Amino acid sequence: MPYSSSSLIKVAMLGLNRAPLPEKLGLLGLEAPILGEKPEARLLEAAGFQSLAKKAGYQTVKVETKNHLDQAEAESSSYMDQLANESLKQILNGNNQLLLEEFLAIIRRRKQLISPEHLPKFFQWAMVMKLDRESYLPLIGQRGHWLASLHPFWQALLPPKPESWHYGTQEQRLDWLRYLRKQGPQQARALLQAEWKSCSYKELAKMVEILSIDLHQEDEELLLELSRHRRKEVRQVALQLLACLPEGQSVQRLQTYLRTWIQTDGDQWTLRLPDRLSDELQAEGLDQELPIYSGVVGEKGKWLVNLVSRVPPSFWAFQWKLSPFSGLEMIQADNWANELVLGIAFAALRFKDRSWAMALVQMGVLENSPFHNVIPPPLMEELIRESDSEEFCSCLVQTIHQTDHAEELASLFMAMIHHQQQLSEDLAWIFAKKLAGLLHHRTQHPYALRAFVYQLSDLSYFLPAPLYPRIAACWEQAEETDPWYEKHIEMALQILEFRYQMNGYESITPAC
Amino acid sequence: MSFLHHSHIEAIAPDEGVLSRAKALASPRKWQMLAKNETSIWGKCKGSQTNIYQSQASLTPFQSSCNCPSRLRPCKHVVSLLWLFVSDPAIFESSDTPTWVKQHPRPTKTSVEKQPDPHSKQLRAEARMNNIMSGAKELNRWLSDAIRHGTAELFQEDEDYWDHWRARMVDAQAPGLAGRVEQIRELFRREDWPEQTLDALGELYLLLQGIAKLPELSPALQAELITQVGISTKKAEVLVQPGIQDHWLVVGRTVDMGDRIDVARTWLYGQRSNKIALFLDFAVGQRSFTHIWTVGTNLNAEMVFYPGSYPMRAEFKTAPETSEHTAPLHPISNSWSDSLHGYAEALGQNPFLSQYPILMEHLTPCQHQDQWGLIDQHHQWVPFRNSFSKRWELISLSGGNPLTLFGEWSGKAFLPLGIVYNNRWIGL
Repeated sequence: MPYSSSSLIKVAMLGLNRAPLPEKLGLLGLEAPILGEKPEARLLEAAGFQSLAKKAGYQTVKVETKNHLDQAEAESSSYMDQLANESLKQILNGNNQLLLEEFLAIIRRRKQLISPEHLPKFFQWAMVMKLDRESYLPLIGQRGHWLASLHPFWQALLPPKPESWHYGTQEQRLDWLRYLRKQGPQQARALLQAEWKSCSYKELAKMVEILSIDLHQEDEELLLELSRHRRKEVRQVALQLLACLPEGQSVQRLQTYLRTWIQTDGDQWTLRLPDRLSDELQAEGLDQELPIYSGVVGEKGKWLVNLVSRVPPSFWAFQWKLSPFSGLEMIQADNWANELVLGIAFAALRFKDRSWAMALVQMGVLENSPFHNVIPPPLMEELIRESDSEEFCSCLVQTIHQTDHAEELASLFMAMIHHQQQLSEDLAWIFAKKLAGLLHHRTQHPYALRAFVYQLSDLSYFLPAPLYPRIAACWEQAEETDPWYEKHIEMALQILEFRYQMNGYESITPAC
Repeated sequence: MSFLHHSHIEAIAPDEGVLSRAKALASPRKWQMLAKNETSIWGKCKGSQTNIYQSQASLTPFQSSCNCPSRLRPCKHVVSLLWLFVSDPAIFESSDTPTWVKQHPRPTKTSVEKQPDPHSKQLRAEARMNNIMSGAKELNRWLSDAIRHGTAELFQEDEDYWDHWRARMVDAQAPGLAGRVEQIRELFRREDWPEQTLDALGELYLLLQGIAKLPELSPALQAELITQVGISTKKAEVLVQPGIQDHWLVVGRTVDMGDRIDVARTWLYGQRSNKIALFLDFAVGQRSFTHIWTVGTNLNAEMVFYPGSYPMRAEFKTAPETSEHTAPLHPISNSWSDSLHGYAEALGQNPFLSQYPILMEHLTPCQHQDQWGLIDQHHQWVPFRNSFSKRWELISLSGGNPLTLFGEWSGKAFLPLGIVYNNRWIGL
C-alpha cells in the first residue's frame, strides 16, 4: 500500500484512538526497525521524515514565458535627489504627512520622478488621501504606471480606461466622465448628450455636476434639456449650472425677474417681493433650500437670496452705474439688506467677480450681518481668495506695521491663511519680527496670542523658504520659560526645518 | 569613530517616532555642548523646562547612555547625537572626557575576574543535562498522547494549556524545546494547520529521539542538537578557535520581535572565502542591539563559526573595520535547482536547519496562481514567504528586470532580505 501524505494527516487529526495507522508506511523505503514499534512512534517518525523529504525534495514550478512580467519602460526624466528622497521617506512614514501635496508640487516644478523604492508607500498614501491625478501622474514615471497596473487597487490611481464607461461601476463611470471633461469639455458633453437617457436619475445628477468643470456657454443646450428632467435632483443641478452662465438664457431671464421686483424712483429704489412664487419662478429653482441654516432666512428672503445669487453682481453696477463699494452702501440701506448682501456674496463667488468679493471683504458687511454665524466658512475663505491680491497685501503691510495687539496680528494671520498666498520676503520678515516682539511682551491679550501660537506651524507655508534661518533665529531669541509656548514654538520650528529641507536646502543654521 | 552612515543610525533607533524626534533635535543650536574623544561622543541637550540631558555614545562596540527619563533606548537624544555626528563631525570639539561620561567596559574580560571552579561547573552542567533529559522525556510522552487523541483535539486547547507546556520546558532548562512548543501553537492559527502541525510534531519527535540517543551521535551532530535544545556554546569557547579573516559583506538583516527578547539575524558573505556567516544579536529590556550594520556594509574582520553539523552562526574574533562595499559580488548560484540542491545537502547534514541562506542572480518577480514569487533564468518559480511585507518594494525596484538577491529559504518559501540596486546592496 503506497504511502499517502493526506492519509497520514487524516489519521493524525482523528488520533490513533479513532483511526488505525496504515499497516505499511512505505515512505522512503523505511520500515521497522528504523520506524518505531508503537503506532504513535511510527506515525510521528513517518511525519518527521515526510516533512524533511518535502523540504529536501522541494519541487519548483515552471512558469510559462507568457506569464512573465513585462518590463517597465525606461524613464525620460531623472529621479529625485537624495535630500528629496529623505524628505519623502519621512512624509510617507507618517511624519508631516500633511505636507505631501506641497512636496509633490515642489517635485513637479523640478520635473523629477519619485524613486522606485518609495512608489508602493506613496501609492498607499495617494489612495488614502484621495490625491488628484494631476498632482502625481507626472511624478510616477513609466515605473509607477507599470507598478500601479500590476496592483488590484492601485490601478484606480491611473487614468481610467474608456471601457469603464460601459463595464465599470458607477464610481468608475463618473471617474471616466470627469477625466474626459478635464481632457476636452466637448467630449464629455457629447458622451452625456448621447447617453443620459439610459442613466438612473441619481447617477445622472452626479454626472451633470461634472459639467461644472470648465463650464461653457456651449453646455447651455444640454443643461436646458436636463433642467426639464422628470426628477427634481437632476433639474436642480442643471439649474444651478445654468445660473453660472452669465450669457445664458437663464441668467437673462432672472435679471428680468429681478428688475420687476425693484421699483425705481429717480436714484432711489425699493424692493417689492411677490406674495407667492409663480410657477415660472419655481421652475427656475428659486424655492430651493439655501446652503446655510435656513432658520435665519424667511421664505421670501430665500427667494430673494436665490434670485440675487444667480444674477452677476455686475448687474447692480450696470443698472445704477455704481462701484461695488457704493453699490453695497446703497443696498445696506434697504429693508432686505441682509438677504441682498448674502445673495451678492454667493453671486460674487459663482461668477468669480473679484471687485465685488474685495468690496465685501474690506467693508466687512458679511461679518456685520446677522447671518455671519451661519455663513459657511468656505464662503468667506473663497471670497478672500477671489479678492484682489496686490491690494490686499498692501493693506496687510500697513496694518501689521501699525498693530501691537496679538489679536489683530492673529486675525491678519488668519486672513493670510485664507488668502493662500506666499508672502513677499519683506512682508514675511515684518510679520516674523512682530510676532517675536509680541512673544517677548506677552502680557496683553494672552488668549489671542495663545490661539495664534497654536496655529504657528501652519504659518511657515506662507513664508518664503530662504528666510527660514533668519526667522528661526528671531523666534528662538524670545527666551521661553513657559513649557506650553516652548512646545508650540518648537513644533513650528521643526516644521520650518522640514519645509526648508523639502525645498532643497541642507539645514537651517543659526543666522544670529 | 568608525565609518558610519545615516542608515546605520536609522537601524538602531527603537522606532520611527524616536527617529523623527531625534532628527528634529539634530541641530547644533539645540545642544549646549558637543564633544568627542577617540572612542566616544557626548553632548548636553536642553530639554523641556529647565532640564539638561547628558547623552553619550561609543561605537566600538556600540554603547550609549542618557539621563533622560525615556524608557525607549537608545533615546532620541542619543540617536540625535549620532545623527549630528554623521552629518558633520567637525561640530564636535575634541575634548578631555568629563566625569559624567561613562567609561564603558571593554568587551573582553579582564583576568582579575573570579574564575569559576571547574568541578562545580561540571556538576552544574550535568545537572542541567539531566533536567533537560527529563523534560525531553516528558515532551515525548506528550507527543504520543497528542497523536493518540488527534491534532484536532490539540486545536481546541486554550492558551493556558500551551503556556503550561512552554513553561514546563523552560523549567527543564530547555528554551529551544519551549520555542518549538510555541511554534506548534502558532501553526494552529494557520489555515493549513493539519499538515503544518503534523510536520512540526514529526520534526520535534525526531529531535527528541536524537536527544535520547545523544552519546551515540557524531560530535558535530551532538553540538547541533544541544544548540537546538537551547544550550548555547559560550562565546569565549568559540573565540579561542581559529577564524576566517575576510571582507564580510552584510547581505541581509532581519529582526524577530519576541515578548521578552528581540533577535537580529545579520547575514554576512565572505568575499574571499565565499562563505556565508550568520551573526546573531539580541536586545533584552533596555539593552539594545550591540551592532548597527545595515545591508551593504563591508566588514573587514576575522570570524569564528560556532560548532555544529552545518556551521553557520559565527562571532567576530576581531573588532570589525567598516568600509564602503565597492567590489563586485559573485553570487553563489544562478538557478533555483542549484540553490535547492545545496539546501538538500545542508539538510542532510543538519535536519533541523530552519533557515538556509541563498545568494542568487537573475531572479525576477513573477506571479503564479495569484501568489508572488521569483523565477530564475530557467523559468523555475518559488513563492515568497507569507510574512514578506516588502514584495511591492521589490517589484518596484526590479521594474520587471532580473535582480541579484540574498534571502532565507525555509524549505517551503523564500524571504528576500537584500538586493543589488544601482550597483549597491540595499536591505528589504
